[in-house]
Amino acid sequence: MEIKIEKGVLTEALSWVQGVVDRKTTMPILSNVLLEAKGGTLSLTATDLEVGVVGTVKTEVIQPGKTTVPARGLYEVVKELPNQVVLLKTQLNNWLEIQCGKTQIKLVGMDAAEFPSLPKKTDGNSFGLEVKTLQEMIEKVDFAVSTDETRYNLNGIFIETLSEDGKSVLKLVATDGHRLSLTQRNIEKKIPLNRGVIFPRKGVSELKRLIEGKEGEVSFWVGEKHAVIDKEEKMLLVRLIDGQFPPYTHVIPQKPKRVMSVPKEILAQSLRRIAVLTTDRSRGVKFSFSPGNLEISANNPDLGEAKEELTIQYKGPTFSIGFNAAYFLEALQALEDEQVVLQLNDEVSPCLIQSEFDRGFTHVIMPMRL
Amino acid sequence: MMKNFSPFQCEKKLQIRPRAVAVVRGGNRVFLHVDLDAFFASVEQIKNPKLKGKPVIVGGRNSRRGVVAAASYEAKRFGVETGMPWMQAKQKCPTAVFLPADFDAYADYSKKVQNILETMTPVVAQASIDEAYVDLTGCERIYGTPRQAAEKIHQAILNQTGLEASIGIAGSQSVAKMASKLAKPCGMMEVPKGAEEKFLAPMPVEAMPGIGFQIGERLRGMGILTLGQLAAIPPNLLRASFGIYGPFLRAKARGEDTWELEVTEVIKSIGKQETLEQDVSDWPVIKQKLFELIEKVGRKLREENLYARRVVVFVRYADFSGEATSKTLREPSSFDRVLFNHAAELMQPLVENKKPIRLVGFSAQELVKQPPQLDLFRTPKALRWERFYNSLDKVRNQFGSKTLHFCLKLF
Repeated sequence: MEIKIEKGVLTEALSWVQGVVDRKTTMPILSNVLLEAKGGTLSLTATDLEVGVVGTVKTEVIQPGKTTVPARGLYEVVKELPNQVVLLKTQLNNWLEIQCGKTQIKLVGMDAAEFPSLPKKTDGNSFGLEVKTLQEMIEKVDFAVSTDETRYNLNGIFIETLSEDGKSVLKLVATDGHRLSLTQRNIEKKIPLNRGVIFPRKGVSELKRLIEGKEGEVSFWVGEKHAVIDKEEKMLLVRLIDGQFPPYTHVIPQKPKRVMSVPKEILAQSLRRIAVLTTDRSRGVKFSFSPGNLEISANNPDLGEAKEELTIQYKGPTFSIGFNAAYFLEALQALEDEQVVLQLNDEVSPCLIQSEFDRGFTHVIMPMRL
Repeated sequence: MMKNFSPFQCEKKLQIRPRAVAVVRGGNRVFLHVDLDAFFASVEQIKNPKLKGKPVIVGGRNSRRGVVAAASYEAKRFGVETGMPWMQAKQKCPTAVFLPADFDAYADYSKKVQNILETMTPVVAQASIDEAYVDLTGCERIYGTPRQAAEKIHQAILNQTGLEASIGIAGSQSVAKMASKLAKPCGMMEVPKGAEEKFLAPMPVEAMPGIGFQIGERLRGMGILTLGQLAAIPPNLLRASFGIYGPFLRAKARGEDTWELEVTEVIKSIGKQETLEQDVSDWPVIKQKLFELIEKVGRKLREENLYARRVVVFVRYADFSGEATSKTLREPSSFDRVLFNHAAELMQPLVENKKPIRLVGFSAQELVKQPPQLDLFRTPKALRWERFYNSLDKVRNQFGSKTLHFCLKLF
């Protein structure tokens, strides 16, 4: 392989692909980026076997071919080169020679044949989604994705579609077992997704990177085990989580008895103050409701105690309930409303938060024992 | 004192920090050691008032091949001692009433006494089934002198349970414990401030709790026989011989060692085992016994607010060979039914088509605290079970562990 490429173009492509390389991989080949030159383009591929990314750039191909070199090493080197044309040339022992101006660097490479082959689009469904809509929807749920590896079926966003008279409703759901975030939107076009899929956490963060600052549509292909997302010259391949997403609709409370309306910004500020006095492990704060009033309090045997009273709209009985302050704050952040409406039953049942502004948004937080 | 007969084998990591001697000298600490007299035998006499005033001897779980677990003072007068083989006790006191041990009843009474102590004083540390330390420091305004407080406690235990206790009062736990021993039966002994050294001086070194046979031997080798002699040894000499334990020994001999009763305990496992009345190879019988063990372990787990991630079952066959198996649970549990279903699955292959069994055991391990955060997907069924077991435990705590039972046949 021998190519000539602009330094800026190569740096940009490398910065995109090297992000997925796992620093702690046990397979040496996975720290490498696959470089493949043919027909006037260079494609760069990196994967950790869960997520794969491919970037394609136009280039002058002198001799087609392929090789692999350490992704991070190549990126660091290229980043520091002068702004000139870079010559990449493979040598017989799989080394890669990099020439730029008077600089000459050689990187140790590995045979491209050892690089794992990425899944191909075979049987599956293709559809396009508006970048802006997708971005907004992901932001409303992705913070609730579980990071607990033992609950692998919760380690991603569940994506499903419902059909309603020719239109589609797209639903994104995430939960860590303690809280659940759901957002749904009507999509003008029909989305041919015949079953729900769990899109893993790492795939979500790469997807966010892929569509960041972009406009227009992003195209999806969803197969049995994999999904492929294309946006312009970049492609993201994701291994879907092979598991059953829990029956989430069952845990969304139906018409809770106690409803209260609280100014969102005041509640968030108060929670941030009180949360300082929670213990690191539990982050538990106590919400004490009485007609027209909410008292938020916390105590930490090592630090002290705090309480604050808020005027709210509430007419029901007096009761107390505990919540993880961090969960509450994250939920409030996903909400555009000025007033947040909390719907509760008793001290061991979940709190339902819905939005007046975004009717498709539903958030459920499970309380803590006091 | 009867630590070996404690109904649970809790593997605990006790972290006792000896208080700095200087602090203790300045501080006015007051400790009680409350020791129930002839505990097992006394409970039997309360259960059956006809036994009052008669010599009563309680055996181990398996009385036909056991030893004396406890003897009433009436029996002790005949020379019967704890730990004596059954036959020998029979020879010494042929008129005694011999009873098998009823550990459930003892645990219930022990709990009652513990509750009394806990309602009367702020800091209580149960040392074994029939003894506890109470930190009375700072309680003068409530109870008056330590002696008056001890009298109130003694009276409360007697009135509410019918049990008699001996109480030692001193500025350190070890001295209080030695005093209660001397006060037995049904007495009270106070070692006033400043009199500790005089009180301890004539006693042999091994009378001090915490000085065992090995240290005792070494001290005797150095010519130190009594605590008085030990107290007179220069500190640097003790340090040279016993290292960091040296100052600790000196403090003990001077009656100055105290430790905080709020010891942090990390319970690593809770288990229970039982030798059967006779060797059995019948699965339904073993199953029943296994369930009884698990009911007790489950109750203890819930009391400690712990959940078991791993269950272990073990058997000892008639020929004294043994076998054990274990499994890790997907979801930690403290529910009898859940623990039993897993344990029974493990136990059955150890029983069927095998040698007769002499002993069965169950242990809950890899214990985890219950997280305060409730889980969306475990409710409401798990919560219902939790409420069920809470009520079950409440009834048993109030009315005794035999009031409510699962019907095993329904499982």
